[in-house]
Amino acid sequence: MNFRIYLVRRILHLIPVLLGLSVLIFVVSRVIPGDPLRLALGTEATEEQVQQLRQQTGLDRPLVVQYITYMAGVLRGDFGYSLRTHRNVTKDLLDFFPATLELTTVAMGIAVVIGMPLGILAAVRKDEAADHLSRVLALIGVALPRFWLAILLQLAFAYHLRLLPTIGRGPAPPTEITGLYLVDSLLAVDLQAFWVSFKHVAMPAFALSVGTLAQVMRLIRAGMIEEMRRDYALSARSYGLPANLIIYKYLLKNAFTATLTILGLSYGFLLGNAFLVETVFAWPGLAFYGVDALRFKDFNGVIAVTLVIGMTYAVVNLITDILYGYFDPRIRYE
Amino acid sequence: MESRQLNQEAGSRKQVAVDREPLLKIEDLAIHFHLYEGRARVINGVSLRIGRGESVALVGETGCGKSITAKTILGLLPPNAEIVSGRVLFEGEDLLRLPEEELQKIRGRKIAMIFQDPGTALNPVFTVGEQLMDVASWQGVGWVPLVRRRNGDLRKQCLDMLRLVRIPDPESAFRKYPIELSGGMRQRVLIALALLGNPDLLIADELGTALDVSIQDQILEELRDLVRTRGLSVLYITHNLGMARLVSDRIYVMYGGEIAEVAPTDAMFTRQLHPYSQGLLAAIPRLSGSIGEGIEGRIPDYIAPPPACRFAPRCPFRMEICDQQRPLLAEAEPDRPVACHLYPTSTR
Amino acid sequence: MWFRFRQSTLSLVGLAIVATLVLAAIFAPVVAPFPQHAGVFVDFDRGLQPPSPRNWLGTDDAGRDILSRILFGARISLTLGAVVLIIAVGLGVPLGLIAAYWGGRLGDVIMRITDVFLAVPPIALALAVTAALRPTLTNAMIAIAFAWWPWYTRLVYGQVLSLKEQQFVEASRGLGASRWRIAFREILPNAWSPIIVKVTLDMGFVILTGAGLSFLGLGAQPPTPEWGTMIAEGRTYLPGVWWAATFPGLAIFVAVLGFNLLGDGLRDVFDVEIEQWRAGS
Repeated sequence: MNFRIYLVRRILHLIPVLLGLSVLIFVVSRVIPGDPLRLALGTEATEEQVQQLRQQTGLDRPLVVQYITYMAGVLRGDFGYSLRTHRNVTKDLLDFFPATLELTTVAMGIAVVIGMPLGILAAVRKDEAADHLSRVLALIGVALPRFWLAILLQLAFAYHLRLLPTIGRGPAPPTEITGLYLVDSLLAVDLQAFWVSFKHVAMPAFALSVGTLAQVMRLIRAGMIEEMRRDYALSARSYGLPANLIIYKYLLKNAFTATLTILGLSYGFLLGNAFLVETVFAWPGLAFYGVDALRFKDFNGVIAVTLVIGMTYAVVNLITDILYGYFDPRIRYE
Repeated sequence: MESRQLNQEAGSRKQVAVDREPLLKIEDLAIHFHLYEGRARVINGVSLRIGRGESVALVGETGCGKSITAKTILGLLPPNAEIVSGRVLFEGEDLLRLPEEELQKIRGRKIAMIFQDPGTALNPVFTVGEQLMDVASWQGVGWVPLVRRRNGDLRKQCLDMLRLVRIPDPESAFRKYPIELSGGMRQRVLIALALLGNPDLLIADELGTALDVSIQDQILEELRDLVRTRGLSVLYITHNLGMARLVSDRIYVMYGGEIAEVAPTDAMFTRQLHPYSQGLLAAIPRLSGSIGEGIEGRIPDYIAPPPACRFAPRCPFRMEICDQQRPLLAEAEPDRPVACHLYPTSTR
Repeated sequence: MWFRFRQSTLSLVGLAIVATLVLAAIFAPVVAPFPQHAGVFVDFDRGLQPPSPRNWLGTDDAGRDILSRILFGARISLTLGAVVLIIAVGLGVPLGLIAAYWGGRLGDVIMRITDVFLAVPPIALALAVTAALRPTLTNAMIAIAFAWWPWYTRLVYGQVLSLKEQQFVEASRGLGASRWRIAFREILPNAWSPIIVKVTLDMGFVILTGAGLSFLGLGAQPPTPEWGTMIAEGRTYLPGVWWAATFPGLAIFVAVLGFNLLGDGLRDVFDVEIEQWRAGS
């Protein structure tokens, strides 16, 4: 079937891209002025100590050899040793990644759950007050610096109103299966834990989501308006189908399918902005870890974070492609 | 179309008694469109009558307003259309005065439309079965949906309908998406959808023009049989006189948003009164999509139309009065109304 | 064309905002009440003062007038945006043009490389690059440009591919014009409008990214009055001292909004269909 072939080709295409990415990052990180080793050891370190560490970490070998050794390790699941945390980076990744995944996924959820109805409303009430208002909101949403909004939200809800926690993720729920607190607390059927985790994730996720929310709103609006003009919408009306059915079933499915690919791309921007939002809220996620790694010039950390983000982004886009094929049969049958 | 032998049974030309109450009656319909360039007076006084069990064809070239007339009946006009005057009486009730909820009850159940392009008239992301089931169960009630009857009943009804429109293997078609079906099959599905609500009046808009000619004929024939057995009234919208001849009892010739001539089908083909109808017929042997190739000139500019007779600029028999006085649609002969100054009945 | 632009109030607002920014940047030394506060300056007696008639937007921890610093910050942000985009366009557009027009092996290679760069979100890539460099404003510019150019390659690639098929190219080729000539004289002028729209929209997002990098401490360093840096500095004094972190953020917001409105207006004017997703949003 054509669609399956298409998917397989997509996956195969990913491999050289991710490999290329690893090369790129590796080269960038190794070609630096300044010496991270010296930074790691401190200013009192002697030349011999630096040399010793250099040998230990293999940084004295040629670049190509370093790369191959590194990638061999990655394929085994070993991302190297972090000069900053003094642990295996893989362990760090496993600790921090779920938090970011939870944050970005909740943010995407917010964007869709709030953005979609608003978009439909704007389309159905085109050129009326609701439509103009939604346009203004969308413009604001796209332009708002996410980290600034995060700070403002913190000020308002945490400091002044004391409704939500200031920073952090809160305590872990009793069972830790997925590492996603919301999911885990539900699995443990612990509603109290769920509520606590929810309160912690609410502000960061919302701050992260506004740009994507605005985008979803505009895309759904545009999509719905376009679908409204189509012949099948007119024929559906001619059969006497009620307006609600036409809007929420017939038009929406078409409009949503069209926005699906863009949502996948948007996820990338959520991942990118996570660096800023996690910093503001001290959210213990991969991006937060990454920023520390950057400041400290912990290259194994930086490379690992970049690769993981790249892979996550690729997987999300793959998922949206599959979903797109599932929703829109025309893709499947070419 | 001229080279095919088609089944023309005796009795397929019904004689409709003039005094019988018509199912659909359009009176003096006038519709203007608000365009960026100005106000387009597209429909300029159209009157139409369809009796019970009667098949009527509305014939004219592209852009004459026939599709708009059809859409007006069901209240499917775009927002920039303004119905300036006229009535559309269906079973005695003026559809133009009905609120949307009432109109929705009529759509599909009393009057149904078969759309032109089966490629776009079906929702691509839902299966045929899903769309049939929706139409079968959700018809006719405004905001509060009809409670869906037990699936078994409905499903059978839909499958039966597919069988009725001669779709082989209805079970399989039921599960398929529109893209998986051929053009002919999709057209049949559209017919099935229109018949599902058991309407009294069908409107067929350019039926089959998007299809292969041989398939088009086949479907038209089948529809004609279906219509006859169920005693339906049909309004065929077409630019194709040959098709009109095949399926209709009476023909309305439309030009520039007005009715030019009306006649029973046989009579129309024997002898045409209006110069435009004559031109249309003369153009048939020229195998092409647009009939207008036989007649010089183009359709009128609806924003600045000719002051009186809209066909005058293209008419070979043009007279002075044609630019001064609009010809009335009046019976020049019994049962043959025509709007042309060549006939004294049309001149005041 | 201008008429259509004028019809949209929002686009005019955008133009006004951008014009104000540019003017603020150019005339900062003249307009700012305390131009000397933009650089190294301390006056701890006047530190952390709330907005007052003397300091409309208050002062920061070193006693510097926030309004003045924001005005000078406009200079920095606009320069950042301009430099980044000049590099991105200068690198990305020709590559996209070559890849699409010449095609073949070279085209494939170029697009593959572009794909690699696009495999991570731009902020992430820019951040990763900063790891290799010392944190300065200039390096932040380089890092962001590094992440931004592939979007232009992709945009131009798509444009040129579709233009390639069109009639006037055939006509030119028929007349014997060389490939270079066709590429640069015929195709490129027609591909400009989406590029112009994208550049306008991107200005806002690049400034936003730059501020983000500086906020994290990986871009402009204190005492540079970069808006992001100012937010980071002011943040430590929350919640009591709210003005130091709030106003620079407001400046960023207004800047991005302005370029977005202007870009939208231009898009309508050029009747262009840019891919809906915007880099950096």
